[in-house]
Amino acid sequence: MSMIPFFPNLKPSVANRFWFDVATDDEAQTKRYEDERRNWRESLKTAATDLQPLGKVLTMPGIETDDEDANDDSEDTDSHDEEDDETNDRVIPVAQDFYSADDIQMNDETSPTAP
Amino acid sequence: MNLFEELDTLDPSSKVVPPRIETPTPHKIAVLILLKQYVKDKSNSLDTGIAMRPQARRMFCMLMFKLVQEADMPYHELHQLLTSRPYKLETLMLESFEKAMSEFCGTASIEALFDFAEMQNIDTLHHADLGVSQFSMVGVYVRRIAVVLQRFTFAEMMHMYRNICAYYERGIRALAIGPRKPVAGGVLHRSHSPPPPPTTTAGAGGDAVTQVKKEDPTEQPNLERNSLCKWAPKQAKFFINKQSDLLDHDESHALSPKQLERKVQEIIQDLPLNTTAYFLGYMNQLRLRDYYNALSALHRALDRSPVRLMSQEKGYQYFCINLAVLHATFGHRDEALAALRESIMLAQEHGDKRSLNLANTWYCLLRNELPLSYVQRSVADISDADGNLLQNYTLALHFAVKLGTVAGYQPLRLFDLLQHSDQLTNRNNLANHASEALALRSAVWCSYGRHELSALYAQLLLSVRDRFNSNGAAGNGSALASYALWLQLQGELRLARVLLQRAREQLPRQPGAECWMISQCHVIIQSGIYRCRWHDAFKACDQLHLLDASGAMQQRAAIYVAKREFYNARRLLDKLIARPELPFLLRMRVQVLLAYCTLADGRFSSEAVTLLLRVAEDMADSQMDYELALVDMVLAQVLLMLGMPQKAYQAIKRSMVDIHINGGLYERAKTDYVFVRCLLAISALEARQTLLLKSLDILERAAQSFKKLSAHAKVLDVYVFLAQRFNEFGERELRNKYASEFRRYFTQHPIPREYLGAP
Repeated sequence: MSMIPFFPNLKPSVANRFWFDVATDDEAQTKRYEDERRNWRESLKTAATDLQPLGKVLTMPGIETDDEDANDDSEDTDSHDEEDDETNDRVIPVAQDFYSADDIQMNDETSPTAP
Repeated sequence: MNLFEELDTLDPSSKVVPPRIETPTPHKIAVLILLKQYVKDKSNSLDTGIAMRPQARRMFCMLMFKLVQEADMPYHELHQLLTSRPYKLETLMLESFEKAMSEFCGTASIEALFDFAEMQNIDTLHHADLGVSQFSMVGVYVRRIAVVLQRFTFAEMMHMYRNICAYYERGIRALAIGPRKPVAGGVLHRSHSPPPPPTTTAGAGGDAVTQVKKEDPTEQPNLERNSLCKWAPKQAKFFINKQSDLLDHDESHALSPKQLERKVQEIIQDLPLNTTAYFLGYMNQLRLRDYYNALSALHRALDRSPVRLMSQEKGYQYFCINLAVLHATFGHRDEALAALRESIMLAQEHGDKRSLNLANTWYCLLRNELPLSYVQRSVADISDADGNLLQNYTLALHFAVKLGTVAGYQPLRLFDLLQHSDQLTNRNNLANHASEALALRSAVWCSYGRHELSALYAQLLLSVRDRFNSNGAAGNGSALASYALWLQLQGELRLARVLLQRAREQLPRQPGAECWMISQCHVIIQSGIYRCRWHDAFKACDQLHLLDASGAMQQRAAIYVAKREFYNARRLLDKLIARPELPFLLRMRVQVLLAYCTLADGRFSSEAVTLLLRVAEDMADSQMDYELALVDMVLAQVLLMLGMPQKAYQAIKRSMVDIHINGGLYERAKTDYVFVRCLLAISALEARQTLLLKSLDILERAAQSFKKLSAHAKVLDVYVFLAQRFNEFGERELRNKYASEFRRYFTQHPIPREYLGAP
């Protein structure tokens, strides 16, 4: 008629964290999204600067070449393109933007929350 | 969610781009509005010079942590949280928050949401002095919401705005309808509900309503689960970590199985690619001891978990270990060992040290053996190791101590190991291991006969439980069981029952329930032996047999001895002795019982005495002083019977101190009784009368103790002895007194004649 010793349950834990350890870096993810957004907004300022506006472009006289074909009058009057192509005049690139980024409301097609 | 995302989750190493950020829910917008009010308040206080109370600021920060980490809640619950302790907001701030919410959803239109999503607005929250730091947890939370809101299309913004308005309206309606219910908020979304404030409902009608509403919270989740409350990955992670920790260590504080299952289903619905949710579901099934569901849940968790991770093959070794744990929990030892062998093979193939460690740990635990070299490393080697290795090592030390105790090693070595383990746990703040060590110490002291110390340690563990913050609940079950048995042996049967009831509430299921079930059986058996209620004691023995076969056999033999059926007792004890793996303490006790059987019959045999002396030697080697004292008492009785009173007196004097310190009430009373008998036997005839009168109060005390234990036979024995002695000395009044006491007690508790007069 005496005491019985009671031992505690000695066991390691059932849940193995290492099985599921997928490190998610919130900060990096958020930063990436913010940077993307910022870059996109910056890019709006210089959007479409490589496109030429409609109409005749200003040209600089190019180097003279002794090309018989270039001085020939062709029979087609509406083929201006051909003449333009055959001259060696260079186009002056347009360097100023006509629209500011804030005026443009563009739909972002790569919206992250698209279903 | 498309198929590619699912595949990415299963094989994350190949994908560089992390998954996309979750859509904010109306709850999150409400939290941000609250934060904005706080920043405004803070800037106001700086302007006017009236500082906010530090207490209020601190509680608000705690509140923000809580809101950010825990699950989404409906608006009325948020409101209740803000108006009840301990997170109660100051009236001004609460009013301005309510006003801002009603303006947001009511008077201002969708423009409010657009304004809210503006960079400028968000920047005010990140203000250097007044707001949250960008890189803090709350700061990242705010940024994540802002970054998604800014990218919304118009349609999405409209949808969001409508949701917020719906969320707010539903909340306001709920607040308007029901009286403030402290329970409704506490049960659903928090595992630790804050203490409910005193109910403000007055009148008898209120009570009926509260009764009805108390059942409602369990039904409410079905109504609340709509598109407005969603689990975010971070919230899910926090919840799953907390619950799995609780399930591992302190099951009574985790959510109830049904609620937990519901939450797990919610998480799986909202975040189907979250793998840990499936594992939590498995743990829930495991704690219910539902074998088939647990097995299928484990398979499901495996299906959903990544096999390759960070350019390192994770392989299936963890799955095998978990399978082994599953089998071990249900007692399928062979299947568990087979699964462990497979996992060891896989772990070695993949060179995964951690899983190899874990598999080895389980292997040792299941086979009940431990290579000594493992625990003989020095502390310096282990202190640099990572947390998991450290915990493993501490566990190994504890296991070594347990094995050593069961085998009867020198206690000094065992306490060395315990000291070692204490150093490690204290240095590294492992609360669980600390409480386990306390429970283990209690068990070790008990095995070596220092029952008082063991009871003290059990009490210590139970009283500092709160300090451990429910992290250290590992040793609670065994402490409760041990202390309950101790109380019963001291005669406090009611207290013992209270403790056992408490243990039953805390540990309702196997395998944690084993300790209190064993303790309960022992309590019933002891009580049955004291009162001569043999039938109850035998029934309890049958129950004990399922849990601890050898212990049950020994107790059954003890009952036979108490019944004086020595033949049956001897038969059982011989069978028991023949068993190979008996714990040391049990073996000693069985041998003592065997010797007692022979001697109590009245037939003296030298074999029995040699057996006793040999057992006494073994006990002395292992420093089991209390058991030695019990043997001395048996010897004293025998010697008295043989007519060697001097030797008997010496024996009983040797043993008295130990028995009085560490013994139960019965042993103490019995020792007193034997002592008085020896005392009378050694003294001369003339002195006997005076001695008897002097020792009268000792015997009275013994009789009182026996009465407290309801050990009726012994009470009657004492009275008979007193009456007979006084009759011999011619003290008629005292003789009559004790004879009448005997008669009175006998009429109340008639005990058959055969149980009286036991030595």
